[in-house]
Amino acid sequence: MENILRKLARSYKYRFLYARSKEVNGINLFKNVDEFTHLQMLFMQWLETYNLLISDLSSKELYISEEVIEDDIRTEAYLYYRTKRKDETTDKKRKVVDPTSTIPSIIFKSKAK
Amino acid sequence: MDDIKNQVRETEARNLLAIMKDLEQTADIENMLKDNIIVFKIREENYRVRKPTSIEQLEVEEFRRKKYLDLIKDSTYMFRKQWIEIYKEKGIDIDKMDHEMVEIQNDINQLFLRLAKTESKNDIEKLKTDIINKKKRQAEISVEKSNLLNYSIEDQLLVAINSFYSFVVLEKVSENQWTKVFKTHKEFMESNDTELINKTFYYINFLIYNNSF
Repeated sequence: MENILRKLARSYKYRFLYARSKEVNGINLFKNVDEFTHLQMLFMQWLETYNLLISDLSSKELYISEEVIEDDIRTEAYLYYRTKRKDETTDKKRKVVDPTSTIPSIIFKSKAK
Repeated sequence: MDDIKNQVRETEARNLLAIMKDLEQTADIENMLKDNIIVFKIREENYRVRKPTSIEQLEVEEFRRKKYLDLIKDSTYMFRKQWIEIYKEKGIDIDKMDHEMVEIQNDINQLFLRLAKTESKNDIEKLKTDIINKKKRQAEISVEKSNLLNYSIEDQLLVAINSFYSFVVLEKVSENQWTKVFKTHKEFMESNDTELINKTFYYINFLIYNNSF
């Protein structure tokens, strides 16, 4: 079932509808506007995921392509890589601390090279 | 020559059947997505399942509470933890199964990182195959664990609530109105209409996430 949901979520029709429903009042993905079913919630999660992937593709991020988006396993692999990359960036930002400062809460960011 | 032609025709027919089945399933899922009410047909009669009202949700909660109490009071029912201890005494280590699943997931994650970064077609296919095999093994362990703990209080409670929930929200058209199919939960449980009951359980899974009970 989930692979069918993913296929629908990455289809042009639903990507378009999802984008428009966020911008235009009156365009809804479903008949109901609350009390979403489990299936609808899962579908919305996948719509958001594919929205994110398309955004990465537009920003020419590393390792993402249309081929990756069309392939369920390669999509999962990219999403996992993306999460790890985000964690590493967050860790690096946390580690930069000025040892000479007497104010414990200040973290000085190193200048980008 | 004829044999080869027949084989090709058979393969094409099978492929076409698979495509049609896929299209049918896709249309079915797309239909279920449209609304929080799922309508289905059995023997030309229309039935539906829907999300419960607030009052019905309270009924489900009350049923859950009472059923939980019944299960705890019954000495023939045990919690998952107790079942795990008993199985350990018999040489079946469920904690080890959990540990194995975590290790497999770690392996899958490493394969994911390699797959994400590679562009070589051969590597991609090999890594995908490895991932699929590891996921299959994970699923096997999960099913085995599920079967072993099937009689636990937690699992039996879920089954009972699923059945009560289905009874509460299952309706059919009667005199142009949607009305409950069964007057009581007992009637639902004793129904011989297995096609209706099975289809109801099938569609209920799309309505609700079981752990939300």
